[in-house]
Amino acid sequence: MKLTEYIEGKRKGKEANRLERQAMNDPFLQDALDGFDDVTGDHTQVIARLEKRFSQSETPSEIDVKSARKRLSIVEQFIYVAASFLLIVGFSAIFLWDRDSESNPEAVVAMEELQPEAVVAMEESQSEQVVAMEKLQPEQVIAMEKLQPEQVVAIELSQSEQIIAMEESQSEQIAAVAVQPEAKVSTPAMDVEFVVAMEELAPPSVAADEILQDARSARAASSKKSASPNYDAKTVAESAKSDPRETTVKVSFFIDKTGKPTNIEFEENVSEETKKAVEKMLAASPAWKQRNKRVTMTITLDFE
Amino acid sequence: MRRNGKFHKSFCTFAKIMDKKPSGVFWSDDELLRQFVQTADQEFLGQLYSRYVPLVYGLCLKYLKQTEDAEDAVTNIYEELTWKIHKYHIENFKTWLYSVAKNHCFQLLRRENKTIFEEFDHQVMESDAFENLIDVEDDQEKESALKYCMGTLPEEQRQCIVHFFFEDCSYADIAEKTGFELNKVKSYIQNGKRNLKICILKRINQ
Repeated sequence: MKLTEYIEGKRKGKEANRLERQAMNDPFLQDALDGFDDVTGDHTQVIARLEKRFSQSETPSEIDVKSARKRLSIVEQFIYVAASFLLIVGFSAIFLWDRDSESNPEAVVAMEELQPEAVVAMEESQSEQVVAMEKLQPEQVIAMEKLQPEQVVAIELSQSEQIIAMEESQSEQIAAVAVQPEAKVSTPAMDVEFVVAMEELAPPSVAADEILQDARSARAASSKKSASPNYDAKTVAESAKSDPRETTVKVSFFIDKTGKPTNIEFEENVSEETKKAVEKMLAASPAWKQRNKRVTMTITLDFE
Repeated sequence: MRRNGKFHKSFCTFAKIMDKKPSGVFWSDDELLRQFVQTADQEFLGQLYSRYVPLVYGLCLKYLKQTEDAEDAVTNIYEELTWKIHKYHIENFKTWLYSVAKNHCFQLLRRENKTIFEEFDHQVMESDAFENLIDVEDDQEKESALKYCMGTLPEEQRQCIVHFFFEDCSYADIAEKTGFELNKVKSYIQNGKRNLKICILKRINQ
């Protein structure tokens, strides 16, 4: 019995028995029979189609013709390969170009979103500078306006050398807060507002003696209440008397996150009273703008 | 005319050139395989493969469970053969084709992460030995052992064994006669064979 007959349904009789006994010795046949039993369908039709597909009787001439047709010339092969390559490149370029153009709007939007903020930040910083400058006297305002923002910042955190350098670039210098002894305690020839502004920038600023004199000469006596020294002038004067040479105090301190001077260190041999006075003065100063910075400055004590 | 003779080969070549197949000549699997290996002519491989298409298709049906998948697998296995044949030294094409087809189906099932249940069929391995055991002609010892062991089998197994091996009934015939389901008939025959073989060997070796 042929297998196809068994598959078609002829499963009775000795022929079928023989095929089944043969399958007991043939795992390939047994698996095939199991498959035909497990899955329903017109298996004979499928088998016939498959058999025809693989066993098509082709004459050598037909094979040669087909082979000749299949065999492409080198030129045709090259054309096919080149065309395929161009198609791939073209699709890739289109795909990538589309992706770039799609991403650009996002980048543009991001930039546009950034710009207003940057402008606002710049405006705010400028306004702060303007406010600070408005508190100054005209002469000082002019001087400040001539300064670059970096220079203003440098003033706040400047060391003595930097302040001197800044001062050299100005027509009028920023007056220093001078410490006056008790008898003729005279505050720096500045208005209170200017003092406040200066303290906001870098209290107290440092200036050489000649700078202070210039500031005094440029200012008229003010009827406004001068800023009273926020220190014990008497003690300092007494201390200065004990050491007349002590007119300049070099001090360094760290501006903490709240803008307050901390960790005050005196770099030269300074009397305790002077130290305390300077510390008291720094403690009473307004909050510094630049924070988390170490500042070194020289405070000039002017005793009359 | 010897099939392996030089004249036979020349005749085949001549027939091919003259656009005629040699008539009345059946080429064995080995000859077709050799022709394909030598000439790389797909016609030889096609003829060889078409002989086993029903087996390959049935096997694919068993593991893939779908007619469309099985049909595709038959074609894909043929394509595998075109290059695998050159890779291996094949002594028995049918046995080799069985392993190729089975592995192909297993690979498909693994790709789909399907569990492959492979039954280890002792029946197939034992069939030749069993056939020899129940062939008791001119062997009284085996005949007496067989009679004794047949009596020890359960009734269902005994009936099926008798109908199948001694009355040449097919599974369908036995199912019709006994009223058992077709799958039950196969199971009774398989278990009966195993029990009978154990019993007969035990009796003979005593």
